[in-house]
Amino acid sequence: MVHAGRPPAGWLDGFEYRVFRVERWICVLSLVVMLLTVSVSVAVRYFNLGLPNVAEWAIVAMSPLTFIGAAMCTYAQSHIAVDVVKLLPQAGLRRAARGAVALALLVFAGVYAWIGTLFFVDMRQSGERMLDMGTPVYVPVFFLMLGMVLMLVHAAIELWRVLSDQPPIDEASLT
Amino acid sequence: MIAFALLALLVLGVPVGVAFALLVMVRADAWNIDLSSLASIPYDTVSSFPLLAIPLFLLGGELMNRGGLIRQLTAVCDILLGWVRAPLGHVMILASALMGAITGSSVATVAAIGGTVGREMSLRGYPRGYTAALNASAGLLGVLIPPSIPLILYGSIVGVSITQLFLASVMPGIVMMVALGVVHAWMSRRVLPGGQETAATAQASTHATVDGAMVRRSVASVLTRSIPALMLPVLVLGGIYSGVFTPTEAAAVAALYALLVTVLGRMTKLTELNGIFGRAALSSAAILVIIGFTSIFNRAMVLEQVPQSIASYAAGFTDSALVFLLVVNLVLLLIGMFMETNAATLLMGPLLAPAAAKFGIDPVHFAIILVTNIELGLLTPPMAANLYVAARTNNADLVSLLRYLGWFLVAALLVMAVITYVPQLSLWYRYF
Repeated sequence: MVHAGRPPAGWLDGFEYRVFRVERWICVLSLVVMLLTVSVSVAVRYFNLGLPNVAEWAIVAMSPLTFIGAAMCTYAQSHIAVDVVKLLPQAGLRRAARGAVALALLVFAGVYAWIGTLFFVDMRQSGERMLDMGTPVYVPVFFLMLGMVLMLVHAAIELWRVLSDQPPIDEASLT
Repeated sequence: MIAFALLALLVLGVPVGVAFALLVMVRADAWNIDLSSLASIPYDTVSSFPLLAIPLFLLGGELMNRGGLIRQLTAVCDILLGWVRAPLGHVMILASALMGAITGSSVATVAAIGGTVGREMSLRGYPRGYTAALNASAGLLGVLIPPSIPLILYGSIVGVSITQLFLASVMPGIVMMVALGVVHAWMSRRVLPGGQETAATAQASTHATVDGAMVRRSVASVLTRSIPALMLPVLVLGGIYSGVFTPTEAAAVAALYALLVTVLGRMTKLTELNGIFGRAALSSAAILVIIGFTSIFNRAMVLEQVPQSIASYAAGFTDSALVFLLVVNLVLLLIGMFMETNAATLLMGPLLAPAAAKFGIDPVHFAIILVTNIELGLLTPPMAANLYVAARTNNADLVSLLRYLGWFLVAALLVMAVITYVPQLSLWYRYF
């Protein structure tokens, strides 16, 4: 199960775990929104209820699921990657590779947090809205920006863990 | 240089989506890409209604698995295929074809079947890597068995009848099923302990062990217990083909149905739903990150006109239709390795279709060649979505998956050659 037991010891680990719990809650809520709105839109069309297309919210929910989910995957070490380095017998090489990955994630998330913020500000100023329900585009874009900021936090803490020779978060311990 | 840098990032263990995006970031100036525009590309890619099918099918799969619906379906498949040795692998192939007939998408098929039948295979003694390799390969049926999203895209953009394309893809789909079944029948002798599946889970088996003795349950009893599970494909396929809902909406209906059956049938506790949704969310996010961020690399390739250059080279290479098709096969394999299926279909279809027509190749036949060929890219790294999704949903690492993939890939390539050089296989419907 991804909902897990007690937060880990240490204030930084505990803080990161609580951030993860919030991310997970947002992603679960996104899934619920997708499930309900798409199902409702089928019913609305089948029974000709004359209501607007609420499935637009399902498309909006893809943003938190993807980008907040990216941060969640960074914490849970569940991004899809080629795991060949983990099979190496030398602990030093494994640690170096882990550090390089954390650094790559830090750079990636840093750049995306920055350009995501620019994108969010742009959408906020343009006032652009989606077609069916009129949802402002800056709403889903906000989750892109937030997700990348959270990913940056997780990547920085993971890099600190590597430098202080602490073990990574084990996905299995969260499930 | 680019390929080397990408390989280095991937081997280090950088997440696949992040590795592709980093490469474009570093080369943004050289490729004339404004860095600030990179935020809108993954956002636009994932804000897509058809892509909703992936998280919703993953959720449905998780609910069906935890609620026992998959065990019920597997029990029925056991009855149908129980006489075959190592039946669950064949069940996975058959189920992938059925899911292909529901989703029209390869990745969604892999996600749904891997999350359900894949787990049962692991319980029956198949190595996780083997299960994931079969899952990824059988996912090709998601596109070959109609409806097929890439064929719809091809028909729309090149101007070929989509109905004819759907009919044309049926026989190649069946040939692919047979080919994968043959490989599984052969491989299962090597990967299973003693060449046989270990005891199935109690609900899945038509044989239950009682005090060490094998007692055959009545087929009627198994079928009765499986009615809620058997209604699911009827509901989904009936809904799609009667026009009540689209394949993406079918994913939501399937998940909602699985939720209701699971909760009302007291197959799972309400408190467990939190965990079920959490697992589905984590798997969905891992897949959507790849789809979203690799789209940046797709855009860069288009801006650099790489596919256009390759297409022009392929068309000007020879006067022989057979050699042209061979070059097309190789070029599309290469493109499929680096581009997402739908994007590659939309790009390469209009570029190559006119050249194929000049060589006298039937446009329907060429569409099947092109889509199947690009589809094979889902099994060939680095951009091999089926492999990544299958590894994720079957809890297998990529290295162990790749160890078992070879023969399935060879089978798929042989089927590809047959599709290319035997046009009657695709144009069968014209003989009736």
